Amino acid sequence: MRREFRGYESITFPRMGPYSIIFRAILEKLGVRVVVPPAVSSETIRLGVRHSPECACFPLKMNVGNYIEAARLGAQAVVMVGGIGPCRLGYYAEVQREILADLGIDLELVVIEPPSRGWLQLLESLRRLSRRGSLTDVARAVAFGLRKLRRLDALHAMAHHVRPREVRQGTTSVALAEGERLLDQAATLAAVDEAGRAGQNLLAAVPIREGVQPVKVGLIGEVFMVFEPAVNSHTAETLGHLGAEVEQSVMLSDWVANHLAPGPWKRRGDRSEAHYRKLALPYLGFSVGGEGQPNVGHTIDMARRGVDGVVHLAPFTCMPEIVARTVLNTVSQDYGIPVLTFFLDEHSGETGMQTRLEAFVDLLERRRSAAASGAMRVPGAEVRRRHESREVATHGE
Amino acid sequence: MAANPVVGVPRALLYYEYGPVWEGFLTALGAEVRVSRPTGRATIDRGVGSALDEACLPVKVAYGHCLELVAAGAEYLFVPRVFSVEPRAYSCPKLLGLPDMVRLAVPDRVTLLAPLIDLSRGNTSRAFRHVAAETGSALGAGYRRTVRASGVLARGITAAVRQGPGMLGAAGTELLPRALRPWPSSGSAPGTRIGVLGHSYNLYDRGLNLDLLGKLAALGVSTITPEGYPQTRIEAAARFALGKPLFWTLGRRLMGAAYLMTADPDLDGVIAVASFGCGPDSMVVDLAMRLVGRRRPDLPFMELTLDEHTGEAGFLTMLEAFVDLVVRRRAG
Repeated sequence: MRREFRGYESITFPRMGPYSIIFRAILEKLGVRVVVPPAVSSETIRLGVRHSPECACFPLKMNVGNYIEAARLGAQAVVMVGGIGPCRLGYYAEVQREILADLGIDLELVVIEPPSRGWLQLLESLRRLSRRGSLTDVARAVAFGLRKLRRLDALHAMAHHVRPREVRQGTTSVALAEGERLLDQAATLAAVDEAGRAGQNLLAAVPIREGVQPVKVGLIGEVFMVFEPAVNSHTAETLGHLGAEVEQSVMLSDWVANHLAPGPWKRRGDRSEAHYRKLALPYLGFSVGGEGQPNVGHTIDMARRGVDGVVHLAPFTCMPEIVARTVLNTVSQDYGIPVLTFFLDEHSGETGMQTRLEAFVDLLERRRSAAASGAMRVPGAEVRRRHESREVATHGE
Repeated sequence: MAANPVVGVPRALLYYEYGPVWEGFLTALGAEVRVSRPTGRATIDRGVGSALDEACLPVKVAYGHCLELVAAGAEYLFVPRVFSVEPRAYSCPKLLGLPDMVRLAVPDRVTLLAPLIDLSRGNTSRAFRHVAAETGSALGAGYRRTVRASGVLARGITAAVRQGPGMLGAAGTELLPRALRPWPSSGSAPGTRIGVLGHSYNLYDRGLNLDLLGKLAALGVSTITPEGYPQTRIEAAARFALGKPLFWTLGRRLMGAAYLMTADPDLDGVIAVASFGCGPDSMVVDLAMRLVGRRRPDLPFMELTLDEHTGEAGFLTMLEAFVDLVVRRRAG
């Protein structure tokens, strides 16, 4: 049902960890009334699960829960991203539309498709959301949002570094939350920069223990599951509290730079997604959609740089991550880097995850001391050779 | 090359779409083709033991077939990477990654033949020549054989995609094995017709689906599957039934068939078969169910989920109950 288009009264969006701040920032700059969906709670999960297909991926179910709750608060439309497959994300809107229609919920799904015809098309689809504004206004709103995003991700990266070193557990998270609050309130570019700096100062002021050498844990996975702490039992925070320094493979700013940035701004070089896909080739010779292939590349890159272990998060039934996990078995063996994978859904318990993360960090710490003292032979030269021969075989094929 | 190389072809997944084409192709390259035996309990167990727990049953079955071929001495395994057979539509990610996953599950001494089949930019002879060249060179086939094989592949895949595997016989390529044809009815409930939706590798693999179609036939029901409809009608129906074009080729066929089934006045019920954990089906079967519910609320619809734990007795009970319901509705 297409209504005569005059912009929307109120718009909501899917909840995705700290990034509500960014979505709200852009939409408000576009002059739209924003309904921020409530934080993901057990009620959100219950609603989403109840009304979604059983084996649909968890992000879809979460979205449905968010949309129902936001509709109750008066939202008229949802802005979300689409896709061209083969990962299911590209068809979320179609399925969610049916679910909402059958529930009698009048919420229009506005899908931003990947800009196959250039980034002007992307700006145009954003412009349609607002009741006023030229493309220039939209570009400014997006630039504002991106500046906030970079500042926000910088705070999170810093928090990952500080948290394992904090003297009192929880002080980093408190500082981070305050930094996020300041960023959320910043309404101009200058204010964003100031809030970003203030946030960094807060984190820098957290009392830390000197000379601490935390184990390094890489965090990879399907992006939604990595970004939203409510569905991953606060993995990053938990790892930090267990004394591990988290290295997050992808934050939203990275994802945007890789997927949405127009030509000259698209990320290149050795932090680009293309680079990680290339690293994965000896094990996974083709894209499998989603972040499957890049995650394999990230693991290899982390292993090469001496990261001690990797935690891999994915929704239950996520196809690209099932393929990634399958080949990561061999990557883990070949590079001697432990990889702990969680396939998560509504049945995953927080306690179970906490226990496994504790055991994992424990394992990594003991491996590191054993390797240092020479008591344990960490796979080295002989394993690399096997990997290298596989690499040659692939290029030769 | 000296003796004909022995190439194992797993009787799983896309074998049920293009199997006869693979066999013709490899034979034209001078290989001795060995197709694995039909799925048995041992095949499933082997596959379950090797594949990731989260993988869907058809992928586990494919592993089982590959491992059986290796155990029987195949030097080569043909596991093509079927990325796309039409513009803007693809296979599911697990099929895209299948060669890599199988590669790590079989011993290094086995050579995996995994040419990329990519027709997303059009069904061009160059695309097929590339596949033939890659596979031919791995098998040591000469130029003439490779060119001939390229033609076999092109004609076969084109026919299969355009007309659906059910029509492969009509296209002049190898006839489909008897097991792939729609089942006739017998016995106590003549005239009861049930539409069965599902991917070919779920519907026609009797070991994987506990002989679903055979059981329905034994209950006196005649069935029609997506392969029983002309592919052109299915394509048109899929375009009509879906808002946004669906980017999974097999999912499109399922939706198109679902639509055609709702338009079929002689159908008494619909069963949708999906494997537990199947990504595309988690959404497509849901959409199909809502479609059938909207267009034909009078048509009984049942969703059947397959996994390696499906018990024969419970499965048969569900089928019996559904057929009972359908027969009673027909009578009353």
